[in-house]
Amino acid sequence: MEDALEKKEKPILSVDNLEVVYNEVILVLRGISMNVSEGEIVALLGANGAGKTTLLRSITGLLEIHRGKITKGSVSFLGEKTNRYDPSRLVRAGLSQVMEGRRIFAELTVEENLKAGAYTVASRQKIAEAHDRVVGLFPVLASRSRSTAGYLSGGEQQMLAIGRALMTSPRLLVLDEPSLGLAPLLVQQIRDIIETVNRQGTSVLLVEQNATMALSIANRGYVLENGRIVRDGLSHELLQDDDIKEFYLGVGEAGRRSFRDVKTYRRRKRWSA
Amino acid sequence: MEQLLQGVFDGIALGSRYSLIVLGFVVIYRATGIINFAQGGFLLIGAFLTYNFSQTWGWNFYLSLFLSMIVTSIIAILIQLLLLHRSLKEITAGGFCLLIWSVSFYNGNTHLVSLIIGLIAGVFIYFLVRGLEIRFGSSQSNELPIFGSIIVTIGILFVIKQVVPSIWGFAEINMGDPWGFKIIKAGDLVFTHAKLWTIALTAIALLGFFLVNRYTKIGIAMRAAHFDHEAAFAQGISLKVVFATAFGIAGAVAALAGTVTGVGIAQLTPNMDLIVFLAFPAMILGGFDSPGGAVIGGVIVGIIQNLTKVYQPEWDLHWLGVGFDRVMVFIVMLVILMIRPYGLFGTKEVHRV
Ligand SMILES: Nc1ncnc2c1ncn2[C@@H]1O[C@H](COP(=O)(O)OP(=O)(O)OP(=O)(O)O)[C@@H](O)[C@H]1O
Ligand SMILES: [Mg+2]
Repeated sequence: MEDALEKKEKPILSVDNLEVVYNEVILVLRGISMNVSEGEIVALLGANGAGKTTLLRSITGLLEIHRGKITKGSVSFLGEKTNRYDPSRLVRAGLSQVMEGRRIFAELTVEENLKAGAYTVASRQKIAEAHDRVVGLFPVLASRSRSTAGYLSGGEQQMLAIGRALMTSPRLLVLDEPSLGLAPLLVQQIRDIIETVNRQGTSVLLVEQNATMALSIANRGYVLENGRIVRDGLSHELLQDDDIKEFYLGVGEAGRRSFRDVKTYRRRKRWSA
Repeated sequence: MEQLLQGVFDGIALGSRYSLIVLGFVVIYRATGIINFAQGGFLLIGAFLTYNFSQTWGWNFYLSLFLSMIVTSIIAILIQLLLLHRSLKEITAGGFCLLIWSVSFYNGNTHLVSLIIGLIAGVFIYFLVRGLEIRFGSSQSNELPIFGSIIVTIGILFVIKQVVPSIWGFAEINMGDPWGFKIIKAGDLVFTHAKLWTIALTAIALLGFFLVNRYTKIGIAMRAAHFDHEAAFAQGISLKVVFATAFGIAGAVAALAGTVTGVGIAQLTPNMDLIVFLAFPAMILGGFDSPGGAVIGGVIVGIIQNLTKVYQPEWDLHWLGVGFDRVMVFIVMLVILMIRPYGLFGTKEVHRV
């Protein structure tokens, strides 16, 4: 109990009243506050264009190269204000990310991708340990270690992207829509992996449009709309929430899916974008 | 047959210079997206440094060459850090600074005066630009300000071409001749030591580069950054280190290219950097972003040029003019471009969607 209280006070990641602007004019995040505590999986849900990726960019130091800027508020990682940190510094501090669209180095081999992921790690032993862990999680990466990464299947590429991010043995892993474009079976697989990684001691911030998947493993979730957090709560609460059911789970009031539901879902999604 | 083989061998020796020059371009292009026109300047600096170490100071030739490669490499890195920084503002400011500096050279001021004027003006403009937040270049910020950077590299070339003769003079200089006229004969074929050494030194440098690029941490980082610089950045790869390393490598190979070009009977002149233009077809042949292509393109161009030189008088083609060998290279380049617009080895991404 005391432990839980302490965690509440000292989250591993906390975002405080964050405002982000692109190109000096386009206001995309309008005062966001959220946090991730040690050991948690936190889901971040939201429709296309809600600002999920932008929030991740502010957390991982990628805003600047997209001409984005934090105009208000702050991001803190491990109690340190990191608004102006570059990714290299954040990765060294223990924050790793899997970017939207996998972004593996397709011209490099699988092995080289993993090595590139370990760029910031100086100790050979630590690299070897991380490598063993990654290969344990994704045996397929070992059997294809010399293949050119671009020739892997979509699912394997996503595994490689996650494996690459784990090469630094991060304290916090941030994933942007890892289930995007994958078949249901693979989504399950990715889901299980994230759960395992979390059980091994890595906190996770999981951005998803697949709310069912995300909330099934997350402790808590936030719903982002138009650059604002419109709802947050424990996963099972969110799963019960009618609006969320309708917008993100594609389930109508009667609890059954219908073509009409899917259509409204799509339409609503577009409005909020 | 002997004549052909001899022509090919001499062509390879000529082509190794092109390979080195093009490799310098390609390495920087891959890392930064910039066509570095200052490459010819690096070549000059390297050649004159080797001359200075080996002739003026009387050090061993190979030691001089090695030191020259290191010093040129450091100079190239410093130039990158000072003037070809990632951020738009720095490039803008650096560009103005260079412009004013080179203009003051042309005004005939003594060099110290122009240096001071240039620096004061540069610093002034630097702060002005920072204050006003003037921006120009590409509108998408995750692309580098390519156009601005290329202009700056031209400025750097101008400045180097002023500085080098101001130190070593405009006259042709004998760089010494470590290999003399020694030859190795195999039947009717003649291998001069000079050409064998040119090829050997080039091969060693290229092998070194390919090993670094393939197996070392920085090599993998460079390839990763070339493929997707944002993803590399996101993994914690320092793009600053990647940029600096690319310039370092380009400086080193340029010094080697300059030295093997100027050594022996060739003589050293402040216009030696013009060989860079002869290397352009090699770069276009090999593809802008392929180091392997750079080497092969360079060798092919060397062979074509030399064979043209050998067979032109033989086949009574004098009417094509003196120096047609150089034109021939461009003709072949045009033909290949028509067939393969990205060069022989220009890579497009491996795709699987
Ligand atoms: N580099 C940029 N410059 C300007 N506007 C941008 C930039 N990147 C994103 N935006 C805008 O910011 C808003 C939020 O985009 P963001 O990518 O964060 O949304 P998202 O929630 O990740 O969407 P998706 O589910 O499609 O990935 C969108 O309106 C988008 O057009
Ligand atoms: Mg997104």
